[in-house]
Amino acid sequence: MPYTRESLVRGPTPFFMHYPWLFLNLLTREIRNRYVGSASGLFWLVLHPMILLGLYAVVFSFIFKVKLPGLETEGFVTFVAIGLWPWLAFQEAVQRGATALTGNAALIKKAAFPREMVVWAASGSSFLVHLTGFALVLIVLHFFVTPLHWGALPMLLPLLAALVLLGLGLSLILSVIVTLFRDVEQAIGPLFMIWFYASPILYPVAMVPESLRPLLLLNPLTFVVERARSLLMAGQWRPESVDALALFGGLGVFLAGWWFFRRVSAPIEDFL
Amino acid sequence: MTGRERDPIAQPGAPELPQPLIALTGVGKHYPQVGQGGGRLRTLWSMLRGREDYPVYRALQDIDLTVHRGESLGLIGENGAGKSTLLKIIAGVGKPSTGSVRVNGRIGALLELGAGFHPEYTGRQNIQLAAALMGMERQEVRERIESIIAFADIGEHIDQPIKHYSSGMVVRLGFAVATAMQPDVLITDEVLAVGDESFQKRCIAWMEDYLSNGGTLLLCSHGMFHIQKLCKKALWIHQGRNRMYGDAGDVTRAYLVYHEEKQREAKAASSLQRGQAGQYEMTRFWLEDVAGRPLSTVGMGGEIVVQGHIHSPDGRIPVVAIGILRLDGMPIFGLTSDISGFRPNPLGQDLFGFSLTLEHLNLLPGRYAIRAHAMDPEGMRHFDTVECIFDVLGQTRELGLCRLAHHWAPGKLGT
Repeated sequence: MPYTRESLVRGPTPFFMHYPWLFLNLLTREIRNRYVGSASGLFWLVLHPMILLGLYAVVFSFIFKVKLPGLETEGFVTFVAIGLWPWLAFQEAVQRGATALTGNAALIKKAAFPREMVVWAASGSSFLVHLTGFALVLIVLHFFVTPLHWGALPMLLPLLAALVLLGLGLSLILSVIVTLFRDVEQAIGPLFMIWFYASPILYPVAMVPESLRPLLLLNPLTFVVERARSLLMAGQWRPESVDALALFGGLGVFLAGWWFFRRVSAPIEDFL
Repeated sequence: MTGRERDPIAQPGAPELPQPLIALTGVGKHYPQVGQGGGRLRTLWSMLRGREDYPVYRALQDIDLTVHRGESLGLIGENGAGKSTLLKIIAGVGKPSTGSVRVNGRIGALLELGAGFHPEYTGRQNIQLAAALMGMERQEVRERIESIIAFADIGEHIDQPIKHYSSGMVVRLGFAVATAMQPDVLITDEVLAVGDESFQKRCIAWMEDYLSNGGTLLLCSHGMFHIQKLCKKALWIHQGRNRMYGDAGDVTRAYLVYHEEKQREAKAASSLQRGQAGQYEMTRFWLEDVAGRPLSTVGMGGEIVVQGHIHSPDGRIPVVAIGILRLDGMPIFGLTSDISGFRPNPLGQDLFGFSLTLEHLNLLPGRYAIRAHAMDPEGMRHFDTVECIFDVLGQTRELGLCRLAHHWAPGKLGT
């Protein structure tokens, strides 16, 4: 079929109609890049989350012996893990996505393809790796720590989709900003550390003083983490209005980020 | 908004219109020149509003260009003139700041061989990504990967990481991928002859086959020979603008003349000296045709009459030396009046004249200079230099400075 290359590259037709194969290639490249030169990449994919989970279990169950109201000590490990993995995926996805343009400058200057694909490949690979790890962790938790409510699983998927959309949208915006202001790249690390402690991952919202709670609710991660717990630990699978809100919120951020990116990606290339 | 209007995808079954392969209108490329800090925030704001009110460097301006199928185009120009920028814009790698670009076909770009290859990955993995970047679908890649590997002639190393490849092997791989998809336009940036001897031969064979099958080449080269041989048209870009567009032969000749003149200007101050008072001196010097009209151009094989007056301070008959040279100073032919046994004729008090007719001027088209020196009667010293410039016009693809008398005949077996 004849086509114009330009329309493929930057035309009005959505890229994914034409470039799924390229996207897959970029994505596998990102994932391979993590384990390049290592003999058994997939092995590490499984081992990393298991080591991390074991570490948290030892620290919180045997050393701190944390007890939350209404939760056993083992329950706390589950409590943290359900919040921690989505966070890890989100944090790494945004950090990798933010540097995707500057990191792939050589490719961008030599080949014609939609630029957002390198950002999505970088973020997407992080989500893929860590959400796979999340699935493994959930299985281990279920069989060895505390049984989870699998019936709520269908509701977990739209929640994670909202998280992925939020991460992709933020990555698009940050990738442009990092290209223009290289200093931002250095600031992202500390900002994410603050964001981590400002999210109810190591503590429940109930422990936060009343006066600070409205602030916590401004954080979209609060909702994701709390809802994941209510789904998996309490089995509250019935859809709530906030589920739709999250999905639309995530979609909104994603579309806003994409619009922003498309708007400035052409002149931004000249700063690479 | 400029540069964003694109062709919709051609509908299958729609009648094929004889539209140009590449059409550029008013294309310009501006690179932002913005410092660090606050200026960049304002720049981002301008970009968001789609305005360009930040300082820019104009690498290209007002380029209009139409390339039809089978009409290969050569891009020439000095370093930094904007050739590569233009090629990148046509290849879709960069977006024009002004104007619009339409490309109705598949582009294979060899902007930098081996770009986008990852050293840790095997040749096969790199082919996959490079092919995907060029817009090939999974099915196409599957079908062609073996022929790509065969053409690149990498052998069993194809499953080794390319960090272990020689640079020639990487180059071969790049060429093989770019040409595998049978592009409608092949864009190359000074990378025609790559790899070792046998691969070069295959490259050239491929190129000839490609061109004879109606392929179109966009070539950027400093080798005028390549441009003249491979391209029908040429575009000369000078300081980001279209300086000349037309037949490849004409444009390359004009470009060479420009360079010869540039070299000549550098030499001029030292080589051209005026005669001093009280010495032999060429007082007038001009060119005319056989009918006596002033002349500045002549057709190939035509006639030029060189006329001049010489002042002789002591009334003795001077000698005149005349030379034809290319503008950069390369001598072509020279003689003096005493070699030929000609004695300038007296025209008045201490003034002598001469007229030299050059018949069958078989210089190839281009710009040349005729120089003359007034010499003492012994023909030992020359005192001054005067010069006239003329152009030889004509259409030929012959190479060199002048056309030697020749004819072709059937060959025979060696002795």
